[in-house]
Amino acid sequence: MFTVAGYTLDPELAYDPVANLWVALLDDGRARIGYDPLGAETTGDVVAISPAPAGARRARGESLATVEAAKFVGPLPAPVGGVIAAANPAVIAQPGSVNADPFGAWLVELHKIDEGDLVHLMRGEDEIGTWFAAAVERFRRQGAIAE
Amino acid sequence: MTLRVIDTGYVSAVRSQALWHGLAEAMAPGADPVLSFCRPAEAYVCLGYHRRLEELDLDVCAALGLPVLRRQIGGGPVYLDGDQLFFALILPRSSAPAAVARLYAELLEPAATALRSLGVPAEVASTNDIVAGGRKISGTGAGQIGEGVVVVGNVMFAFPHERMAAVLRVPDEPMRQECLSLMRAHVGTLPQLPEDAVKSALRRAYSSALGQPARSARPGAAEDAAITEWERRLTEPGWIAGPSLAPPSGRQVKIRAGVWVYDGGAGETRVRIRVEDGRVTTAAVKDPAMNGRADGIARALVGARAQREALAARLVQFGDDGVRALQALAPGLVVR
Repeated sequence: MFTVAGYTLDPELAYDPVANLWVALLDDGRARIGYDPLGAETTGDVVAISPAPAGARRARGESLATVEAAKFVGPLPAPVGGVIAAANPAVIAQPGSVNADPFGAWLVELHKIDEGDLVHLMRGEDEIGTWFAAAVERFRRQGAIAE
Repeated sequence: MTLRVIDTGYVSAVRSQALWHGLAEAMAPGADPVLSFCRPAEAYVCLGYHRRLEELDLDVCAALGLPVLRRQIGGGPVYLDGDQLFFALILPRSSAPAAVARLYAELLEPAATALRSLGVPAEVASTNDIVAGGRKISGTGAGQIGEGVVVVGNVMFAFPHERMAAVLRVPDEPMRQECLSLMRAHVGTLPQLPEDAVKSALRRAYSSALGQPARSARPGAAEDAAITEWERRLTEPGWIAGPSLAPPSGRQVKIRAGVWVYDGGAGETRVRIRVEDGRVTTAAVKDPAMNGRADGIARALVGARAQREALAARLVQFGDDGVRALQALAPGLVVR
């Protein structure tokens, strides 16, 4: 783990810079997806998650699940394309775990992922750190997160 | 860029929801923002996206002639009728603040500004309530639909608290009366405001906040098509039934931010708490194994902040009984 702008990140994971999601590329070819700490914070206290059905194919950017926080309902955009293999029943039952433990609370697993989409993800400590620090600065300038 | 203002006047129940769903769905990246107004010509009940139909007494809804709809934004069940003006600000996702708290701060503040210009001491409180004099005067919600981000609110010129309480399914009549009492105390109306003045003030405030002149408009062809499609979707039985959700833990009725009633349990332990301004104001605990200590536990809860740590500190003196009470209370502390 390493720290960027006060946030702890896992350098072994890849990150979607668009929606602040982490992506764990598993040995069996699946991609496991959750909110990174900044994504969880800016989403707000998650109270409900309804995943798209298993077996559904989603292109990058399409919705993997519908997420509700602070009476805002919005999509969880796919960081990479793929077929929905599973949703995490523990997180669906306890949506607040997204905020309490972002790296422990995976939401959706994809298989048959579109390998070409991996190029959009941030990987490695240097790349992740540079991107994440800029993202934190941007949110702070907007007043979206505390100094 | 201009702020398009679309005012449809009185419309059917389903159109009053489909209007802003469709306007958001049809919004293209880079499109002008839209401020929409409408009033429902008929009363109905509307559920937030992730709420269960079982939260409503559907027999009462049917007896009162109230259609039940579901919206693709958050929040709980609400009673809506022609005494309410709906407004919705819709803008492209790329123009909307990315953080939800910021979104509400930027896009609800103009509504509060508009009401203040009419002499109402309105302010945005607790992220997404608009309150005046300690009472909620506007229900709000938000969401992303297609490429559009929408923030929705209403201005209540009158509100039948009894009807709202009647359509809720709750465990017993005392809880319904508790909800009604809290609604009367914490949900206010603005009967003195003329509708046209409210709309003009909202138009001015949002135009100023966005830095874009307002112009009256009508839905375009693509918007009309999207609104019509949403009218169809909103009335599909599968949509109204809602998404598959985890089993409920107890029954919570939120009146406004910081004010709610919860009835639930774990094992043999039953609890009911009433929370106002974030603190437990009444509590009841029942558990045959507590050997008379339940009343003491209930008394210890009163006055505590309705947060796990604060309640745990009050209950630690009761040992295992306190642990069981806290387990029973825990789901009721996640407020929706």
